[in-house]
Amino acid sequence: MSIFWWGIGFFLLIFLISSVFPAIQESAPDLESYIESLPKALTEAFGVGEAAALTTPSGFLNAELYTLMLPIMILIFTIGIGSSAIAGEEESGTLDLLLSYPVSRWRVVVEKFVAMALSTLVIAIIVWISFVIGASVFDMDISASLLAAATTSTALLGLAFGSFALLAGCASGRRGLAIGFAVAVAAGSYLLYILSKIVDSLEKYERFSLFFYNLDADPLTNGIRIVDVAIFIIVIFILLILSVIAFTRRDLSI
Amino acid sequence: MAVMKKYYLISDWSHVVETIIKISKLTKFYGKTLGVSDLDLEIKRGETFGFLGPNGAGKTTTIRMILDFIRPTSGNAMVFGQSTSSNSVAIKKRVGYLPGELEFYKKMKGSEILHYFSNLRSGVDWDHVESLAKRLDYDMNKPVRSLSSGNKHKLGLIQAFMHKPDLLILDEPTSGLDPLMQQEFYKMVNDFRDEGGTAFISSHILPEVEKICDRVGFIRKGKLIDVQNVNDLKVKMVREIEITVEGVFDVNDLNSLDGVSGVKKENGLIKCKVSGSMDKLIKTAAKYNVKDMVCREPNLEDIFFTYYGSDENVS
Repeated sequence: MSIFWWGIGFFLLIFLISSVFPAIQESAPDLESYIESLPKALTEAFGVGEAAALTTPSGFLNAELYTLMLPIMILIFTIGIGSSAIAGEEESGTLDLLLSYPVSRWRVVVEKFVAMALSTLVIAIIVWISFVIGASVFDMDISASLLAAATTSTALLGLAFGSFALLAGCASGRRGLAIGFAVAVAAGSYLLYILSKIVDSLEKYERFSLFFYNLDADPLTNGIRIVDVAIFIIVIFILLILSVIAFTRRDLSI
Repeated sequence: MAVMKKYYLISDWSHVVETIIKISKLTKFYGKTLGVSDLDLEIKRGETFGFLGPNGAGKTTTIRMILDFIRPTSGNAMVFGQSTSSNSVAIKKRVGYLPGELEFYKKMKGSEILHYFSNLRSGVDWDHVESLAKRLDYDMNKPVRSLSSGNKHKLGLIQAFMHKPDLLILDEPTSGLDPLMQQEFYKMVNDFRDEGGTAFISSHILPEVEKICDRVGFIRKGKLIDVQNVNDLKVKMVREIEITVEGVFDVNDLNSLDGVSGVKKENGLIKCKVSGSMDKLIKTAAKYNVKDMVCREPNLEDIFFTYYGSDENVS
């Protein structure tokens, strides 16, 4: 079961990075003066705007995991699932047998989506537990509920891009294209977010990036905001509807 | 002793419907390329229909439209009196399908796949599944990735037959089966016919279609050229004969026979073509010291060329 191996991978990643925290905390003064010397825009873009931030548990976990590494890993996971859900079966030749059975196309898409959502949920739970264990073992003063908030937000971000992959797969029947599309949207979205922080004239576009609702919201510090969750859910729902329409309409290459 | 159960059709109104598949002016273009053009065909209940043509003729395209994998450019197909584009799910409850290129989820075992598929049909008589497996000598417990293509094919046959469908759609069903299993498959089709089932079988192997079908439809380059009863076909078919004879042979003996043509003598081999009954030919040859006799089934190219003319290559 690949979720098992992914789970182990996430646990090790989180645990090992958490193990560095005690050392970081010790060298806090040196780190602070270094960060002060960096350009403000750069440090803001990477979520370490406040000098003291990196040495606090939430600042550390944000910088090391939640702002880049974790989203990337989760995106790889969800985009992998989303792209193979329909397109993978279509390319590997198992879709024709399935569709010769009395199942409607929309039901197939929805069931694949639910499988992707459940897999993401399982990984999110494993990630959360890994953080809680890491925090406990390495004396990080951060509440389990804040960790849950941050993990939920990242998981929703992952599910959203997984849904982009699902849509592209439903529309094209090609797994590689679905992956490429979802990665392009994710990269573009991330770039938009970064640029909106650095370039003043682009600041008004920050809300068009899905990463805004995950990174800017900073759930590890602020907890979960209903608006952010709602945006993710709405986007995911729209992508699911579009996936159903795309898959139901076209000729299948089976 | 178990009594052979008579097969019942599932829904009431189907007793009234005699036409199982009705294809009207069915046309499919893939972009500018023609798939099939203006297909008209009716298949009655209880018929085993063979759809015969070379690769690329449009057989699979037709099947894809019947199963609503692709949508027609124009025309329509009705199965059990229902439209394939709007009532696909209802139709598929009563259809068993075997695709030409068969792939299964590699990580699962045969039994797991069969259970999964059986659940998609709200359950299937598992005793029947096991009897099918036994009949085909198929081991359900091996994972799919370790199966030979012949065994994969057996799994495909089982899932197509296991729910006792009203209609079987089989695309090149015996590819990958060894001769023993081919015979078993033919028996399965015959039993299915005896129980009142309808079958639509696409193939490029004439002898097979002759063996198990009632009618044959010839398709080439997307057009249905002709539909014939198999019995009529057998009479008309031209077979090539090679006789090896010891001693002197008078070819005029053969030339004078009805239905024999193209008599040639090459290197001690007597070649000729025979249509219709072989009786006279055999009795004539028997007068000589026959060392060997080879009868060749006509291949598709011959049939199309002989009966339907061909100014281009068939395949």
